[in-house]
Amino acid sequence: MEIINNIDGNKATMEIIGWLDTQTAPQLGEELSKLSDDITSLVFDFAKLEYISSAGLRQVVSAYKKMSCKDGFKIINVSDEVFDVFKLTGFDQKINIEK
Amino acid sequence: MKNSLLRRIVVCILVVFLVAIVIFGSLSCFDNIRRTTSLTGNIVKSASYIVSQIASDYDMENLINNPSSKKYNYLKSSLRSICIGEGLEYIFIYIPDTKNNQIKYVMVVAADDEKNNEVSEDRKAGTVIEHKLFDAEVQTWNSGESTIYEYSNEKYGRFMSSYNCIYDKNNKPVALVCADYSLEKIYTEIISEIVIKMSIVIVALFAMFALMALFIKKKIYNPITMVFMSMKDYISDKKAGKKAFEPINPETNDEIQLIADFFNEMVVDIDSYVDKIKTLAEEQARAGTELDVARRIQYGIISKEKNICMSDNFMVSARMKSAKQVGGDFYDSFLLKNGNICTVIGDVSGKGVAASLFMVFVKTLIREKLIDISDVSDAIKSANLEICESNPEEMFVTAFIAIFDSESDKFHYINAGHNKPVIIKNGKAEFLECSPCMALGVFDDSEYKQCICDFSNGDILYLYTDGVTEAVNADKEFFSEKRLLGVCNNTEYTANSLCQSISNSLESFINGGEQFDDITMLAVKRQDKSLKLHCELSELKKIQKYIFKLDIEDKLKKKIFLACDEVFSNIVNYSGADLVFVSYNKKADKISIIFRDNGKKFDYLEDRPKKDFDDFDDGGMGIMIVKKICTNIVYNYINSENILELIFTDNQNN
Repeated sequence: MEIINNIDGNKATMEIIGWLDTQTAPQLGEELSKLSDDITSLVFDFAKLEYISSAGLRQVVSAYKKMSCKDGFKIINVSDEVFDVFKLTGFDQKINIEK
Repeated sequence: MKNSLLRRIVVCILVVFLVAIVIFGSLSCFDNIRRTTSLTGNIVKSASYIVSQIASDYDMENLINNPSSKKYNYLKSSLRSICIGEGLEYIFIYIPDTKNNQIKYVMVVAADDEKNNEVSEDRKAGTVIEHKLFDAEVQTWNSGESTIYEYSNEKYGRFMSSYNCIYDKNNKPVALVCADYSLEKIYTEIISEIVIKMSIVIVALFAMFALMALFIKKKIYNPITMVFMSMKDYISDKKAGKKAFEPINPETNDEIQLIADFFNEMVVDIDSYVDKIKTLAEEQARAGTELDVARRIQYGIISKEKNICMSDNFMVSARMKSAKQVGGDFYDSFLLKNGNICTVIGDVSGKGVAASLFMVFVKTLIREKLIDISDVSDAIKSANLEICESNPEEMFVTAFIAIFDSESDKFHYINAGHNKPVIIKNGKAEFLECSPCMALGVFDDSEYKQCICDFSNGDILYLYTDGVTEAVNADKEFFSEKRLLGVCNNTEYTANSLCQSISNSLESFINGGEQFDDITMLAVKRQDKSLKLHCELSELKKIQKYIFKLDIEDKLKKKIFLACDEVFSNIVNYSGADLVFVSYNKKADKISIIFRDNGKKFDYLEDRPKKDFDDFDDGGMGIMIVKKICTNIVYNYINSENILELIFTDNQNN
């Protein structure tokens, strides 16, 4: 899995490419912990994300929690399949998700 | 029929008829004119001569001076009688004056009353008119000979005149006589005569030719027609299948009769020839049918199914295409007592019914021996012995026997003089290197050594006979081992699709050329229905490969994998098991993935406290996801094993 991190001032966009599963989720966790506290807006670009499992979802929750205090977290370019998983778990009710 | 004999004859007759009429008509015309003209000439000539003789007794001057005298009138009436009697138009007596080109009329008479009165007035005695003498007149005046002159006058029409000289007592020419005959009159007569004659001739000729045409029709045309109609009937009867033939008899006893007689003879010959051919054809068809039956029996023995699914883990597929003659290739696939699958491919030397019969014997024998005798080498050795004993034609058989064991990851094989098979691992094809043993049926004491080869999930073994590698195209090239390997190099084959692909390649290679040998092939693919996994997250990849190889829609595959991912992750993280078995089953539209592990009891269906979103980062989502994705979940704890069945609905066909 590949993560491309674009930081523009205090806005960070993370492009996640490939499969976000049990094996690769820790990688995302690491990237998240590396983010500086100045960041007020975090965007996950899931355009090239092909698969997400519960391990990946856990990381998303972490990211949400980290950012919700500063009110700037959203996920964009979500594919139909990934969106289905978000629906199953009720994530779409809580997180700002765009298709 | 484009031309008709009868029409030709009729046209011919008509043409002759017309030509005859034209010829006759013109000849008749000319002849008539000539004769009539000559006759007329004689008439006028003699008339003028007679008049000249009569007039010679008279004195011309006297006559002129005394036109009312008795003598004058007497002469005039004589002349008139002659004129009327001979059919002349006019008679003139006149004195020519050559010097002054004048003539002095003495007397003129006309046959017609009106004309007579006219000329009596216009040209009474003594009248002088201008007239240059014609040559004929001059000649008569000078020589005394009578002459004839034809001329055309606008006023009077065509005339023929005869001149004669009148002499006085001293034999000196004193006057001329001119007798005029109207040719117009003649012509009318001639034409009417000709018309009458021609009519008679036409009617006569027509009658004659009609009779002739009738004769031809009756005596020639009708018999010919009868002959060809009979021939026509004969042909159509033959086509309709009627057998009886009535010989033709036109009863003319001439050349046409001969035609009919020869035709009758020919028919007899043709009929007997056709019968002979029919019999021959039937015999050949029968022979062909028997060969067809032989081939069907051979195929029946070989078993027509292309896909012989022998067990959960192995898929066997075969193809057989015979050359024109029944051949000696065979393949076989059966289960041994211990549940292992055995596949055999073989090639009996030679072709035809003999090779075919021998093939059946060998195939059955090998199967029996392999089932009865547990040691493969011994089994083949025994088979070979029996083959050698029952081999009067000294035929030999090459064979390759492979036995698959689903427990181990290997297969055992014996190569009895057969082609090296192809083995495909991970899409890469190569030949199985094995030094072959002796073919069967050659030496009764041959030994057959067993060899072993690795064979894991996804591998394919491809067996074939030399009909494959030695197939030739139009340029006399061989298909060859090299090309075969080329086709085999591919990761995506199933046993069936591999056989199909090679069959297609062969077909386009041969491309309508002749197939000399049987083309036989058999492929075995290992496709484990269940996975044996260690309890480590890294094994997830195997599950992924396994799921994605299944024959299901891609979207569903991802969903299934997600569920499996969650289940397996949980097993690895919490169960403490060391082995996990994953298998797949499909019934109608329900797909099941079954997890079997020897870890501690973990009931998926147990109720758990519902977790909040905020606590999700601690885990527990997995089970929720699985429950939501699956149509149904079945859990059992049997023999210290957790057995979890995830059921999905395949909506592909809805």
